Amino acid sequence: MNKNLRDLLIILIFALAIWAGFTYFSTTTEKNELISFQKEDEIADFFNDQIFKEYESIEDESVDSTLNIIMDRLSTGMDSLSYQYDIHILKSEQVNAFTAFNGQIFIFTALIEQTESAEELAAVLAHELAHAENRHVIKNLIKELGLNSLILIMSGGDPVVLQEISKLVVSSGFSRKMEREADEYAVKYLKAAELNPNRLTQFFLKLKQSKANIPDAFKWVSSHPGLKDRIEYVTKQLGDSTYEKPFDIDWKEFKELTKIN
Amino acid sequence: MTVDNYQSIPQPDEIDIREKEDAMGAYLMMFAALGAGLPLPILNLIAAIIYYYINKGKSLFVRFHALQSLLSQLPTSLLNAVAVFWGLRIIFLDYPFTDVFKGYLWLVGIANLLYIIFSLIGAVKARKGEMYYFILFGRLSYQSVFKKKSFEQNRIVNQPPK
Repeated sequence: MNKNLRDLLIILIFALAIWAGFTYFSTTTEKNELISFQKEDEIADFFNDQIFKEYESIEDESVDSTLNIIMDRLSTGMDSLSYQYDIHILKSEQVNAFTAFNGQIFIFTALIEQTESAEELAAVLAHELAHAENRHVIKNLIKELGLNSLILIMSGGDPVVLQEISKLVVSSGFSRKMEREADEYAVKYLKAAELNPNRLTQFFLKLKQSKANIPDAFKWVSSHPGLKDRIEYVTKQLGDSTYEKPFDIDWKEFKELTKIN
Repeated sequence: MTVDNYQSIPQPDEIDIREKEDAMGAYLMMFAALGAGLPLPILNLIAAIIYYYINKGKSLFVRFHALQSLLSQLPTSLLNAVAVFWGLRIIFLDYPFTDVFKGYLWLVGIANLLYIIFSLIGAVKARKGEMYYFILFGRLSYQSVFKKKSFEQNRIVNQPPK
């Protein structure tokens, strides 16, 4: 064999062995395992206190049972739940919904105002659930603040800093990749829960249209980047599945109950 | 690789001090370029190419070391460039920081270390007027620099009258 060729082969094999060896033996822990669920539970307590200080929540049994019906259906479409989910409805003029820590999901009344059916709200919820299941909030905060300062701030409980953090979570500025991942999972959940995944794009489109008229209030849209791309992406994923088993919910009544005034 | 096809290798006492220093410079130049080339690994490659073209006419000994330094830089520069672009994608485009990338960084680190160590040995040897062959690149450089050109082999064209 040509000696040069032989040497080249030796170098290549040597390099590949180093690469493969160090890949195999690297001990990168996944970022989402850096904070234990127990730690997240503690953080959630601090955070919820902060949120309920800022916003008034709606406590109503029939509202809760309606949310439970939706949540139960969605969870049939999910393989396993990472959290015991809690859905809170907060009184606010902002069209917004966000995921916080430890399976706490918050929806603002103005967003419910914009929905036309329980299925549409389910689509929004599926998207938020996807954020929670993928632990996007924690990952995002670790990226913004660093793990140590996050734990320090949360357990220190400095009210001003906590307020800033809650702002960060409420505005839910996820990266494009996280949003795309959440959409992807939401579509999966909706399909498996016998809901029409097109509801998600419908809601996007509606918000996009109305955004032109009322620029400031539509937080959920403005914090979710590249809406046009995402509508296209979700639509592409869907194929033509429009099958849906409707909820047995009196949506008008639910909307009445969640009105601010 | 028959010796007949190759020009003879100069011995240390046949090489003057200027040549030795130029040959050593081929390896040391990269340390100067390393700082500038850190954000853009292609820069030290360009420096090596320029150095080679400036010095290749000086002597076969200088030319050999300049070429060996240039060739041995190719794989490391390529590895570094890939590491930089891969890293930028992770930082700015949110690609995941995977174990594969971590393993790759180890590879890049080891490649750079080996490259620096061998370059230093090469520089010392060149200063002493000795040949020093890296794996693969040493032989390639020798074959490229010392091989007799075909016109040199058939140089005897003009014959005395018969």
